[in-house]
Amino acid sequence: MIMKFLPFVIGMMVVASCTSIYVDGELRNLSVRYESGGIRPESGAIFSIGTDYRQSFATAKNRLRAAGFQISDANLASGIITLTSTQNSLISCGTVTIGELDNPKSFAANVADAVMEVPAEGGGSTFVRRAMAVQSEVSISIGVDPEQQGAIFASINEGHLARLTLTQILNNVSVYSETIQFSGNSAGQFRRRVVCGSAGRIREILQGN
Amino acid sequence: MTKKISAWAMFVRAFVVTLFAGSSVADAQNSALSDDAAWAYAVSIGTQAAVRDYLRNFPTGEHLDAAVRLLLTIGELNGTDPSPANLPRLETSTGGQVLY
Repeated sequence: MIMKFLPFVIGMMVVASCTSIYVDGELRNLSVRYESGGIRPESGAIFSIGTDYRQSFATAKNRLRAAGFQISDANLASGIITLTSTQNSLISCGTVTIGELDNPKSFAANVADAVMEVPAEGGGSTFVRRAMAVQSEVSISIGVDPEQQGAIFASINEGHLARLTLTQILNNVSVYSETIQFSGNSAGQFRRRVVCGSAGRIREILQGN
Repeated sequence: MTKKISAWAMFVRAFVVTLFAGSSVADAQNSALSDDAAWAYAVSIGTQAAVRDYLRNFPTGEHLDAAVRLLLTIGELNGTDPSPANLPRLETSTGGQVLY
């Protein structure tokens, strides 16, 4: 039974802290907790996307465009499609849980914009704006696999830059800013211990999901 | 016998599908309404505490920008101590752990 849940337990990295402070006349336990999870490494392994090369290439382009991506290059002869993206959905960074222990609020750690209440140094609490910006470069190789009766395959290479910033709402001063870089098959970790990796979204789109 | 089992299976399947479909739609509607309703309530109250409550409950809400603007207009962000001298020190560590 323990072994059944062991991978899940190991897969969760929880960083929690809790501070008891007086806010609005009440003693409250403000905490922020990060949980990593949902990262699906894009290993670059090939997968089938059809049986006709031209049609598969066109379908891949159409699906990527329909998902809101701007294709920077698509070369039918070489079978390479490249795109750049600022969509946060290409990466997964687990969950952030904030607020009081008995009434926590959770949101995806890769969300572009959020506001968090944090303890103020001199007592009470204050609000900071948490922003995450993502820049991704994706290269998709499409080709024919002669060993699989000419089946059409694709492989994906991803590169991501993720920038996490915290800004004081009161004076718009940035109090934390860090950029991490990781590929599709690796994970990146911020100093604040948020762990990010590929969300496997490109593979899902190419497969029509 | 076969017909009875088949009918029961169809009934159970229809019940489960209806149950889950209904609950997900209801959840979506509730969450969408509660964000707007909470914001409307905060605006109608118009106090710092009401806006702070909205931000606490909807950290990624649809009305974040408006809530922040309203808080800045009202002129107070700290929960108990509005003094600018008491701004947070975010990179504080306690026992090797980031405080927040």
